[in-house]
Amino acid sequence: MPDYAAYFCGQWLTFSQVRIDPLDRGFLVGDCVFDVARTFNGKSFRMREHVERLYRSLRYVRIDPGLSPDEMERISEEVIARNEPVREEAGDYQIWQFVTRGRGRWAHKAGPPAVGVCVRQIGFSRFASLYDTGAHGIIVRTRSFSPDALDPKVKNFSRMNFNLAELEASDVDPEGWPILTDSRGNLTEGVGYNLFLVTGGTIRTPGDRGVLQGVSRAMVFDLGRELGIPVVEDDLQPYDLYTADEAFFTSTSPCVLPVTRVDRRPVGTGGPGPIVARLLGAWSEIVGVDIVAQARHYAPLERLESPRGS
Amino acid sequence: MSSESLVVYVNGEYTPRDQARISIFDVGFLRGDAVFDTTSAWNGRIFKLPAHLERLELSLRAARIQCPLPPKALADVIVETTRRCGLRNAYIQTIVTRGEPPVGVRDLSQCRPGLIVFAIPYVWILGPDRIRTGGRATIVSTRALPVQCLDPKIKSLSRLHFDLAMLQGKAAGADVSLMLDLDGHVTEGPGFNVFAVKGGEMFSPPEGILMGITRQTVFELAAEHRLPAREAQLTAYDLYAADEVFLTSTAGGVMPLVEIDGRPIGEGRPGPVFQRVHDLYWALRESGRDGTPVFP
Repeated sequence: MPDYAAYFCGQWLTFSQVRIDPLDRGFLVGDCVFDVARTFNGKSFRMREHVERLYRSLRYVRIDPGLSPDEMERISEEVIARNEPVREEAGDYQIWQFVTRGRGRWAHKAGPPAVGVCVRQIGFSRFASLYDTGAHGIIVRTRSFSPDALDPKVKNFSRMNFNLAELEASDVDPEGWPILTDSRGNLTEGVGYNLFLVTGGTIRTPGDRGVLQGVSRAMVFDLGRELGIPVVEDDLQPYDLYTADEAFFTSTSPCVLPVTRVDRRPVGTGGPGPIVARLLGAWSEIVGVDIVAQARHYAPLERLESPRGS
Repeated sequence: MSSESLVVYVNGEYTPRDQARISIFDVGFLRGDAVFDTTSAWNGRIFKLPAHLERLELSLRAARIQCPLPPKALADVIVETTRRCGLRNAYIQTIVTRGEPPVGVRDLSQCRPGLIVFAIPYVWILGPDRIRTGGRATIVSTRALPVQCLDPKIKSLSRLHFDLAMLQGKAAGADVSLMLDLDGHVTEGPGFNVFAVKGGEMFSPPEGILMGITRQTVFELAAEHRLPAREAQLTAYDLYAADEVFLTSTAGGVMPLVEIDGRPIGEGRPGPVFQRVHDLYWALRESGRDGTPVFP
């Protein structure tokens, strides 16, 4: 894996040179927001939406990155461009943007913020085979944060609850994908992916109260309009998922990932459904990359940063 | 013990286990509209039968079901069923269903209640081997029924949520499942209560649970032997951070947990407070105190 070019606090470095001050509150107390975009054939996808979401997160947590959204977008595109010569091995990239609050005992006196933009491998091997088999969703006991505590719309680094949810799901199936609920028992989201299900030809997803406003989630609404498939927001319970015809996750890297089992029960026929196939087909056409074929091709070639990938 | 020799009491008759029948139109079957209680015999003595009968009476009153037999006659049937089964160590269940209404009638007051008593060999939620080594639990996502919907103090046969919880626990490879309430407080598991031990003191959830007779017995033994014990609301965190956690049930007595959700509890083996309470409980059972003799 090449040592990718990265932007960090006004400087151009390589990824291995990017180091966080251990007294930065981003590390010390998870006081950091971030966003993750991806490329298709080296071109960024909906970068503006990712940057706008990052700036909504920044505004909510009251961090001023010292860069305008335009500058952040320009830097992100430059990170992609600087790594374009070595893209062939990875196929495409994830682009990570993060802003910490910086050093300081008190949040209101802390700073300056650390701003970084890096590329990483997509991590195809985590999901490539799941386009065929489907993911196994596990409804975990760990709850989503309530929006009146810390709004899950803010993409932030204080995500211990997500980690506990992952561990909990792995107790049921080491390859399980956690699905969370809120304190009212409604389904919310996964740990970095949104949840959809299909009932009687209608695509349904939890409303955005208390879930990340996924850029891929928004794409499903756009594709639904284009394909003539109704997409609605609804309060959904585990019952709706157990009895759905199809289910799927959306996330920046895999785009749309079928969910064929939940809590060891088959969803619908137990195999990936036709609506997931249509969404992936339409999405692939728009970005000019066969999403599934690309994942299958690159998954075995990936040398991952950790055994389980990212 | 072969199951052929077991006998079931159904509405006034003692019948072999495999011939016992109730109507499929009994709302106890159709809607889980029945209450029950479980007692156990050890060394030929049924433990705290009056306390179990009193709890059954409270469940009946809360559910507005009339028991077909007065308390004394019911006690005699429980003893007689166990005696006919020839069991010295038995799990004995007494069920009162609301019964079957006339065809097409929705008026539940027209149901004639039914009574079923059966005895089977003693049941262990965690068997003797697991009691030695300690059991593994998982806190499942299925929540306990809210008190506002159906108070878990009523020992009713509407227990699908318990079965879903058990299936989830099994899926996670656990021996038993623990359940939280809607606010995230620890309640109980399917058929047992929970105690956490911290700093030598025992804590058990105060409400939203079945008021277990074994749980009550632990509080009595604690008072008798000056072991600190009290009711307290507990969260999942409190269980993870406890020195010891143990379960209580008529089916198995006092049973230790050594792992919850992949986290070792205390030192990862049954602890001294559990052991003390376990030994006191079984000494009490062996002594025959509070026991109703099954055999003359």
